Amino acid sequence: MEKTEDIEVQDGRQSLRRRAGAIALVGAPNVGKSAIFNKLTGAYVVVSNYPGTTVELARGQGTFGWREYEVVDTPGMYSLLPITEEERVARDLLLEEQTLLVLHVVDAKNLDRMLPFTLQLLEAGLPTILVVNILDEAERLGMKIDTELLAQRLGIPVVGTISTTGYGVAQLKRAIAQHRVEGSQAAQFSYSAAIETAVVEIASLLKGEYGISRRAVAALLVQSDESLLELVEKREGRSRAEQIRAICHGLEQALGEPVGYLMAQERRSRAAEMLVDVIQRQDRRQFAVMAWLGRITMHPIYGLPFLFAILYYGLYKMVGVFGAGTLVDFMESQIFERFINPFVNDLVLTYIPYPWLQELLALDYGIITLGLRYAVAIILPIVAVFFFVFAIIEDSGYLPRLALLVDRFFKGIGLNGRAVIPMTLGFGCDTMATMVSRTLETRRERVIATLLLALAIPCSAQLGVVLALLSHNPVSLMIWVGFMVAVFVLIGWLAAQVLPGQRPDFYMEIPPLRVPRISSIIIKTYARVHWYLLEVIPFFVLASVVIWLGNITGFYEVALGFLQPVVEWIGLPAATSSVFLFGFFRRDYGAAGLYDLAVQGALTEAQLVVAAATLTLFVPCIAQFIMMIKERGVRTALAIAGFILPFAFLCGYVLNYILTIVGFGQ
Amino acid sequence: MKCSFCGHEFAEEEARRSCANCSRLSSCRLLCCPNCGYRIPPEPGFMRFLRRGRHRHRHGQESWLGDGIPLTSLRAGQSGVITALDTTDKTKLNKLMALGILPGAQVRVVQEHPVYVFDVGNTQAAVDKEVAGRILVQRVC
Ligand SMILES: Nc1nc2c(ncn2[C@@H]2O[C@H](COP(=O)(O)OP(=O)(O)OP(=O)(O)O)[C@@H](O)[C@H]2O)c(=O)[nH]1
Ligand SMILES: [Mg+2]
Repeated sequence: MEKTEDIEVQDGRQSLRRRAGAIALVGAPNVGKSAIFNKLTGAYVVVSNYPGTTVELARGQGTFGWREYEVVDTPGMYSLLPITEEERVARDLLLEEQTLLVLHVVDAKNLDRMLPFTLQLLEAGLPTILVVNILDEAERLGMKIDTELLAQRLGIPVVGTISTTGYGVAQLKRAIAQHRVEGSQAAQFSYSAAIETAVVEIASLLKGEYGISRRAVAALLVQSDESLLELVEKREGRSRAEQIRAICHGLEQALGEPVGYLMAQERRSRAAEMLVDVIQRQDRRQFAVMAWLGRITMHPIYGLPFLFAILYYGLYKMVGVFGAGTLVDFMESQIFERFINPFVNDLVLTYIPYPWLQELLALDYGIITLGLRYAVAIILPIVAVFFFVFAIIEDSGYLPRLALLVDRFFKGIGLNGRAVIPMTLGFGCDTMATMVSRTLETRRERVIATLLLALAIPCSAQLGVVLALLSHNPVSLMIWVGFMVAVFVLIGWLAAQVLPGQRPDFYMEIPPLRVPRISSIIIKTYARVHWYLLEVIPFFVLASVVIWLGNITGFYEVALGFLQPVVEWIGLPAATSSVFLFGFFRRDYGAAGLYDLAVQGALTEAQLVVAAATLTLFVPCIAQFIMMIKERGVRTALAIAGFILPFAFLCGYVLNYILTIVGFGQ
Repeated sequence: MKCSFCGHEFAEEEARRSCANCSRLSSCRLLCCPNCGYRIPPEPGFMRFLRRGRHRHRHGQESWLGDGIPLTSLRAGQSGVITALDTTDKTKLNKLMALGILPGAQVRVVQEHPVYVFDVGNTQAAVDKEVAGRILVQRVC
């Protein structure tokens, strides 16, 4: 990469020398930016059918016309005015980094809605290629798009693609390789008189360098972009920021309406003019099964059977019975207990004379016989099956429909339907989900979501183990489910009462229901399992080492001694202390430990339910805790963890108390 | 621009100045002629485009302007053209605009419960009742 090469960019009013940087993929959520990124770079980032899949920048390398470039995938943003945090991530990339080229990806069937953003990018002086993606669906709707005519009108290259099949990708690569910034004829447009005057005036006040043109900065400022104004205040000084503020205020007064609203309408009408004759429509309304299914799944009544079917077959049957039951059983009893463990133990006992090393590698708590066995025999099958099922759900576009179904209910716990996405992702991995809670709008929502994820949402490994342990007795399973839902609702409701802030609005784009592509599901499952193992195996090995260390230094006993009274207080046998100790390392590690104990028959039915519930509520694992600190700050993370630890045991105590009274499973 | 009632020529800003001491909603798009006080609807370019195209049958400018009725008064299956967004809350506006909900766009309500789902262009959008009530439409039969 030649990062130092200088390129002249003509910016209408000024020319700024910018350094060659990355090629950025930007555009609205769910238009296929990540799918194109994968095609351009050969890397893999997650592609799913709901808005807000990508929440952070992903970087990769792509070769176009014999040169290698850095390509950046960004979270979707609707316009240059961000609403949520992940949109801000994308905006800040454009604002603060030098971009060599912007690929604006749009959904062909919504070209009229997305073209105004192209105009914003051109206004920002960014060298842009317009990528009209998802042409296949537009065609099915009877739309024909004349990309050449549009390219002429916009003065920039326009390429039509279908990123799922790869159609148009070669042409896009060629367009990137041939793209010249010099002498670009990109269309410019001006706003109506009053706005235009203010924009020009503010632009002339700006002296600092921004990643986008000063005119575009000014255009954002008149739309009262507070976060940008702060940045401008830093770069331009207090007095000039005051001047700018005064101009914006004056304009708003003069127009009597939010300026951003008027500007959006002006851009929209300009885009509509540009699209005359570009889009040819023939009405092709046909009965489509997917469209019908799409409507049924979000129906307030008919939608419910679908939800239960997905929970029953997807979660219970596939993950619980097949993954955590059949597969784990097979791996445990057929592979590890029959072959690997005896073999390793034998080997170690015969060839290694030192007992301390024997114990580190094998026997009760060894790296191979415990750490690796937990990871490969118990966690891997569950997680793999879960990710497989989840990939199908994600790619179908069901999640946004679920979001609108539960919006009312989520409002009661201080969230709104949008929070369904981080919450369901939490069933896969709470760490990942904590990061995805960025897509929520207010800090209040993000804190509540983080708390609930840490407390009441079991990750796939935990969930699988619990399903496996309790599924032989439907009543136990129902008690566990009921208890978790009760805690979730209670704590969510309490948090909503305690945390100040107002109820956020629900708004969401509902993508069409799509038939998941098998290749994409397999790649996604593989990528996630791969990522999971890479993350989990070192942890499990480390945990084995720490436990081994604790064992030979006697610290393990001391720690168990501390936990034992608490564990007995909630009616569990002393042996479960080690499960909770494991749980500190990782949720899934503790779950695997519980599985081990239960298989040995050390627990009564009631104890099993109490242990499962307490462990599910129990502290977030280290990885999640680190993510909580990163996303929400140390104080919030500590407060949440500090609340959960005693609360989990309290819940265990209450549940045990109730079960004793009703005389369940004694 | 020119007052369609008395023919007086004036600048848009000049007319807007009188809005400060007017009791109407701030989302009102009417302009008062400085000469005779007649309320004139301004005509955004997008509307002009739309009327040239699909909505040629609409004459009299007031018919599409009016104040409109909230989207919540449309039943599932009914359509309307958005006339205004009745809010000055900028984050609310941003969200609606993000989904392509702007004056002039045509909407068709798909379902009303548990939240409002409607088609706008080729997009399907879902918003809660509170937001839906902010979208003012003119019913289309
Ligand atoms: N039919 C069709 N579907 C596509 C095409 N491109 C992408 N998709 C689908 O659109 C959905 C969204 O794709 P992503 O690549 O995740 O979209 P994104 O723009 O990265 O979305 P965010 O990360 O949420 O901003 C996925 O279900 C894709 O399979 C296409 O050309 N045709
Ligand atoms: Mg993405």
